[in-house]
Amino acid sequence: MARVQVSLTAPEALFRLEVWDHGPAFRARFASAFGQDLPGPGQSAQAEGARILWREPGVWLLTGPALSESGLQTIAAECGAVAEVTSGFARIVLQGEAWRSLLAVGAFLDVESPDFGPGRTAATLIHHTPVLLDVQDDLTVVTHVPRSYGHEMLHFWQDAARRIG
Amino acid sequence: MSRLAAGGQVRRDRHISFRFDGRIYQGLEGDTLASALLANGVRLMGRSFKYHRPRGALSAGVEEPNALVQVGQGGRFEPNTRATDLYLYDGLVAQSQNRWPGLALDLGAVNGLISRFIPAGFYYKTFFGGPKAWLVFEHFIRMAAGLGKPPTAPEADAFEHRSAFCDLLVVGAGPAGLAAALQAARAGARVILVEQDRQVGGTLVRDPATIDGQEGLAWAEAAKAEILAAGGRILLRTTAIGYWDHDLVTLVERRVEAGQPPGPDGLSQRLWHVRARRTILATGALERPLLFSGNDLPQVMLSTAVRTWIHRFGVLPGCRAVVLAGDDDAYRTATLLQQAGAQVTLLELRQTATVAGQPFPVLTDVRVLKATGGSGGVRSVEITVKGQRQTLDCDLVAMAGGFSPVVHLHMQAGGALDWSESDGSFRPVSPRQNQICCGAANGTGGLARALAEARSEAAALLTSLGFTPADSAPPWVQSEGTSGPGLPSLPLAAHGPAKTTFVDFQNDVTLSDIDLAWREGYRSVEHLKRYTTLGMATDQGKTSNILGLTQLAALEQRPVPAVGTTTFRPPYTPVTIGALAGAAASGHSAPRRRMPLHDQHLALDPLWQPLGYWDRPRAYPRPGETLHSAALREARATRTTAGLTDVSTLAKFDIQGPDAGAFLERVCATRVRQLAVGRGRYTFMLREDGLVMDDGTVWRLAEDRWLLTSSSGGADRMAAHLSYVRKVLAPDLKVAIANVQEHWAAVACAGPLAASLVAPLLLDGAAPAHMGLGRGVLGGTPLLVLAASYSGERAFEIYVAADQTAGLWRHLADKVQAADGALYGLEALEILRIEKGHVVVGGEIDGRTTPGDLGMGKMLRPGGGYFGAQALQRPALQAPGRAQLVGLEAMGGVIPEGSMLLPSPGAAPEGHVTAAGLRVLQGGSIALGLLRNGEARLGETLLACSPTRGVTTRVLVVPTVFHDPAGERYRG
Repeated sequence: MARVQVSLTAPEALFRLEVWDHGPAFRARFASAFGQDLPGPGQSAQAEGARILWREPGVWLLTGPALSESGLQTIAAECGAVAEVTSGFARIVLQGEAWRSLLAVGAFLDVESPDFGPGRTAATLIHHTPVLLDVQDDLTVVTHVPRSYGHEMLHFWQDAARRIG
Repeated sequence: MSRLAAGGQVRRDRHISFRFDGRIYQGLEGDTLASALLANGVRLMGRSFKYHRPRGALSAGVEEPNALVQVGQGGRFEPNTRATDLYLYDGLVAQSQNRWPGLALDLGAVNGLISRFIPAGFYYKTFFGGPKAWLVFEHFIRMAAGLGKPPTAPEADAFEHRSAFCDLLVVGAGPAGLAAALQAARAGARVILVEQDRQVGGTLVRDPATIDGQEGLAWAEAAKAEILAAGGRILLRTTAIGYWDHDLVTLVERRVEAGQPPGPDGLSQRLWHVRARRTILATGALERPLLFSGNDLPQVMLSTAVRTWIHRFGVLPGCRAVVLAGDDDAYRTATLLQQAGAQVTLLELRQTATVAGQPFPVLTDVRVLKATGGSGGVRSVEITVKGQRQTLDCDLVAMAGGFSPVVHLHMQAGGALDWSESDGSFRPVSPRQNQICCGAANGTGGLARALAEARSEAAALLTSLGFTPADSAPPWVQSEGTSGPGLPSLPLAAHGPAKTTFVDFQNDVTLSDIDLAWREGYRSVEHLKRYTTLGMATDQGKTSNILGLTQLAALEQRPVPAVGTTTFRPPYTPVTIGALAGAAASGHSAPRRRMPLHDQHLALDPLWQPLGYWDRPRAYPRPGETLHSAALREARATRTTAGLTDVSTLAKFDIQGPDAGAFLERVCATRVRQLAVGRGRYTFMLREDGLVMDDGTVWRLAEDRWLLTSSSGGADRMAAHLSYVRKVLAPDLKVAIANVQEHWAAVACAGPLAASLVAPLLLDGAAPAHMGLGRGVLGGTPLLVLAASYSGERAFEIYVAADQTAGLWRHLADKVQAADGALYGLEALEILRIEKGHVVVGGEIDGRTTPGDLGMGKMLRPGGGYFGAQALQRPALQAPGRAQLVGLEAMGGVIPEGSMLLPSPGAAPEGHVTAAGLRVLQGGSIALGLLRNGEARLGETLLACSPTRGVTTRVLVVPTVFHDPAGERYRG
């Protein structure tokens, strides 16, 4: 059993939510739909029916099988906008206890920090490629890689994973 | 054989065979190539660069300038490897270099006979003449240049880049470094300890000591174990090669020795990028040679090297040894030599012996005039003792010339140096980043002092980081083995012939070269360095810089610090290109971006064209077709029936919100906001300086929702630009900008039949009018159809979610081919757009053109308010004489791409050809170009001249649109 396994996973509906008005009305609608507030910078949250990733100031990604652009737009209403980006990303899953070692290859991010654990997200460049990391649990990181780079990154990580053993 | 019967840290039960210059030798595990050669009685290991003088090992470490070898074979070949820094492994194959036909008999040594004619800088005075003479000189210079042969086979193994972060980085795992790292580990800090050797201990491996009741190396190993147990990271065989801004330190980790096949992971070397909150440089000190004639002969070596051979490797390098004492450290060497069985004479260069009662002869007030010998090594030294001349026979000379702290990383980090007159060395002061030096690297001599300093410095750093250093007792040194810097040493002085007194061993820089450079006016150390090449070899002057500086200072009659220091540049030791390239050394040389239809294109076996990181089809040739004929066929099909191409790489931005229109008017220089829902428009964007940055189309999908497209190559730049405008210039706008370049794929269907092919896909069954949009569906997949034309024909860009593209492509490809149309690639796209007079980023939008230059001035929004509007009013951008876009038509022949536009032969160029193509249906060479005052020069005849292609074609200046100037075809 390899210390970290790299695999491509089937895409799940993915939406970009940009909010320009975080007022009470929006917060109430969001909390009503997902049972919680949007996660803060560098954080993710597992909500009812959706995983929510902080992307950049004012921007989140939401993923979940039952999500729809129109449904999310209803929540955003006059306070923000939603765009579907499902096909824009390849999802590559890094599974195993050595995922930190793998992410240190070709990257420049303190993945070995104890603070970078489950519930954290990070947008960084790995091997020239913009990558969004979502640490889901102690053994699993889901990476969102621009679709066109997916094939390259899959092989880059698989090569590196082989060297890790 | 010179191997001692006992002693050393090598494994005597483990023999290793290796090959040097074709001969097979035996060494022991733990040997370096140099120690194994010495153990086999091989003293000649290399030839110097310029005079091809015979050389042996000067040192036993990374500072070695002489014993350079070529190691490995095929894809593992590595030149200029220090034999003193290469551990033996089974199957090691090494060759000496810079000699012909052999090491013992090297014809290049004839240079030594003519050395008086080829002193420092002789080439500046010799190689004069015209260009033809230079070609002759160049031939010989190239033959003589370079040290070692470059590898020719592709790399056989893998390289990797890796990052790491820590609270404390400690460079050097000698006693001081270990003590500092131990302190950090005990305090719970994240610590990384780096050691270039393959074991910890530093000077403890050559100089026995007792620390905390343990033998020195045992203490070091215990410290290592404790650091590891506390979660610290220790990287052995890893060299800190550079200290960069913001406390970035790069390390090269050798996973295997040069030329050695790697383990199952296939990894040869790893380049680490380390960012530490604090860094301790415990990099030790290097011993200096002494200056006398013949100081470069084999078997003339550093005093500490002799101790290393004996104590670490169990090798006695000579039986009749002369030890030259410029400092007290020489006495340790003399004692160890005698204990190992050598006959020793210590020559005290100072007036009196500082250590009395030695069991070997000590001569005081000695001047060394000359060492004599040959390729077999030194045979004698000529000296004066209290003014009386003597000759001592010997087979080994050990030089103790004092120590220089290794301050390279400190200097790279921006630190300064302070001169210590007493021991003749520079010490690090005034660190500019978060680094400090300690131990020998800080000029602190003595094991106990170094350990105490490291411990207290580490404690202070840890406290500053919020850690509480453990309150343990400092290491207790019962037996002091280390000396190092801080010892008073003799000011350097030479007494023999300067012409054969070597300062820089690797580049053959002698005292007379420095004298000559000074006489010729090279007074700055930086000038001296470049004129003589002092310190510019692969060892970067580790053993020579101080000697050169002191000689320059003596000539200048100024103190050493007044003549300055040279710059210490990364890397500290040579680095392979493979390590710098990392994963990019092989299959991952650059990311390859795949279009959603990559597999479909691949099945058609197109000619591919890299476009940035993208791989895109350039043409789909049929059997027997060339690129040109295939592209022309594809373009003709598009003009006459229909063509289909993949335009998925276009930049696309989904812009939403009540202020989306206002935002777009900040970005786009054309009218936007008045656009009706369901309509689109050509647009372009300016840079802040008023020049055109990119172009594309803008579409109003709904009242508050827009789609902006721009060029493929500029997609990342445009994304950054939109983000900048949104977040910096217009933070209060209620607008969301989603980069949907990769979510939406797109194919373009163009040609007279395009509308009939596309219409069935639309919900209302009707193709939208030019610059209109429609919604469609195929097999349940929603489509967005934009009627926009790049080719000049009636055309549609059909957008679909990227993972649904294959079905759309298959559907339209079948229809297009059934209608005698063609799939077309980038080459046909280029031909079509040139004929239509459309501009492209990189060709006509070249970072120097304004909208007016490109004939688009009338499209500018009159009220301004867009990015770049103010700068566009600068007089220089409105002045007459600017290059303007024109069409060019060949008057016979072919217009060369990129050619100059001349009014007459030999005249100054007045413009250039930006893109050349041909009339698709009528034939004939056409082009677009930028021509001074071009708009006013229609009808003029010019020459399109390409000296590089040797082609000149007469051209007529014409309007830019060659095909359907009225636009009737794309309106349908």
